[in-house]
Amino acid sequence: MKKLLALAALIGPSLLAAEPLRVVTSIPDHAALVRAIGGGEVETESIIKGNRDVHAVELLPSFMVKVGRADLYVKVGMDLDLWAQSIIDGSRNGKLIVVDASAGVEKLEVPTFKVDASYGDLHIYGNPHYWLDPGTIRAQGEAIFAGLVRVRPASAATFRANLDAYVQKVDAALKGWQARLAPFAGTQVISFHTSWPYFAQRFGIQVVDFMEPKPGVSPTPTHIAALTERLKGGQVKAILMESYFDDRVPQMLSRTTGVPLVKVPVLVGAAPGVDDQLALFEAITTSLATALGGGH
Amino acid sequence: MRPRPLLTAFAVVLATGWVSAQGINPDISVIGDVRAFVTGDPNDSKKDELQLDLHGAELALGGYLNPFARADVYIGYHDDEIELEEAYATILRGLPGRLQLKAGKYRVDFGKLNLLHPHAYSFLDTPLVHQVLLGEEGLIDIGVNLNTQIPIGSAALTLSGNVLKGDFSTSQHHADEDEHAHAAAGLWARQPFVRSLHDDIEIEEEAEPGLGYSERLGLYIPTGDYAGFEVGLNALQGTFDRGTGRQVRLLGADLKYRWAPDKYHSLTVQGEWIRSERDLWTPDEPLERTTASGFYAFIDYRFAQRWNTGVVAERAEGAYDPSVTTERAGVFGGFQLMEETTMLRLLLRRTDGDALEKPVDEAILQLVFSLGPHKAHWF
Repeated sequence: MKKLLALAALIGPSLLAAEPLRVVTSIPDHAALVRAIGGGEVETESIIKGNRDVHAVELLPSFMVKVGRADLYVKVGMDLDLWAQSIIDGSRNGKLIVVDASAGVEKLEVPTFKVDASYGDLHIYGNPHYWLDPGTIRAQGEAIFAGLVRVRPASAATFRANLDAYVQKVDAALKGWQARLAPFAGTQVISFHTSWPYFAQRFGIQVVDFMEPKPGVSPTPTHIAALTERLKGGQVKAILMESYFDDRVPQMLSRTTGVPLVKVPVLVGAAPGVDDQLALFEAITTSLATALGGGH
Repeated sequence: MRPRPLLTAFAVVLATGWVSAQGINPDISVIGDVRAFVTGDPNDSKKDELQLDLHGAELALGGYLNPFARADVYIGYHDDEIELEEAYATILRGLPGRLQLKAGKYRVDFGKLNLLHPHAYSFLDTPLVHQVLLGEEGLIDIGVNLNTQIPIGSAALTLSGNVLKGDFSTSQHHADEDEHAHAAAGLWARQPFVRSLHDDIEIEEEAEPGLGYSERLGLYIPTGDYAGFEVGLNALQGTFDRGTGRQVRLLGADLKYRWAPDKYHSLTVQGEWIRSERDLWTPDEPLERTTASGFYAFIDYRFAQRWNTGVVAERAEGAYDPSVTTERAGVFGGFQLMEETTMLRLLLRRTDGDALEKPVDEAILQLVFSLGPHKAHWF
């Protein structure tokens, strides 16, 4: 009997631990981060898959089913994925723990004035595209780590070790990306959407204008005409665009002005081979460095 | 001037209270529906002339009551009247069996489309079959709803049941009254066929409704990351006059397919069929049961970020006289001015039916504007 009890004591926790912790995230980048922290103890899925616009997601019943089975949901936060709350509500999951991955991130472009729709899709808590800065992965990871530990406190040490190891790996890669983009510090680019303040701050790139006249507002002929004149001035060295946008207008602008178009994925999974965060930043850095003339 | 510490302290307290109150204020949004139209209806005194109409405006308030529940209120302005369209509370999470509970006045989940407010329709107006068999603005009633979702692999089976006060059963009666009252002013000129589909007002005026019950079973099956279809079955039973024991029974089936591969393209194919059985009463005669049915179907294709187009076809039999049928077909297009907060829609449609001497053609241009927070789009 004692032997049986001892065996049960030995096997019991490992059987419990074998049950994976289910995490759903709004964006695949956070799913990748959860996998890095949770290792084999998590099963992760993202609501957004592939080359999509995070700002607008249609609420499918299959999303509710996914979240209904989950232990943890990771939101982008800062009012970017407002749709996530409807999915969480629709999941009917009363035990779900919700994590805001932006919680510890130092926010940029926080409006100091009353925001309304005349400014376009401006977010009152600041620009929410923080995941495009590899330097914020520690802060994002800490928020996710805290959520994972709430669900499975017994694995805190493993999650902590995994997070530290992952951040070290990203930091090492970051030095390489910074070195490759260092020659272009201060270089002026325009971007399609206001996705790049965190990235630009990290790598010293200057985003001086946008294809969208206001955030979320499609390019207008008048605005494109003004941009054409600006690009012909020679100061702007690249048009940086998120791959989920239609590239016909940026292509035309690039052909007209000779300024190279750099179309890059902004989410993990948005391009072939971009299967994790390291691959995403590698793809962005390589495309930008090549277009700006470095080719490193 | 002497300092007034008490007054200052009071002002500070008020200001602090105001600031903290802002955090718990509900979301507020306002939607307006402005129309310009031309109708060929011979009963319209302004036939073939350009007419303008503030078709409606809606004030929506909504917010969380606690982490697991929220409340929503919709106040509408239509035809110079202000009406409480919906007011309900929903317990979203935390109930056993993955249940959600809703109570109040709300749009009943009889079919997929009835849950939407008409300003969200690409084809502008409440489908004929809804107007005739569910009510002028669709099926709205005071009640309690309990629903759950059962995962079947990646598919979702939704089961829903409502206990309803029964106001829905007389909504056509009220619609009829309003319609006749406003007909002279031309307010119903855009929908001449509705008049032809109602009769026997005297019978309805005495109705005292009893409780009603409705059920829905919906199965959503994804066919891709951003594509899927839902089939639904709906039923409703109610007493629309307790005095005479007259009953109403509705049966419906609906289908929706949607494919949205990127932010620039989407395709929606949707339709619904409804069959109604109603008891008719005339003095000294046994109850007589009438059966009527109808359907709508539409295809809506978004071919650019801000542009969509489609076609709609409808048919409805009179609720009390199924021999009087009306058919309607139209082609529509929509354009978002900058963002989806400002939408222009154009509908060209033809209505024909037994009660019309000849088909009526209409052209309607609609401007829909919405103030307030962006709302997520549901499948």
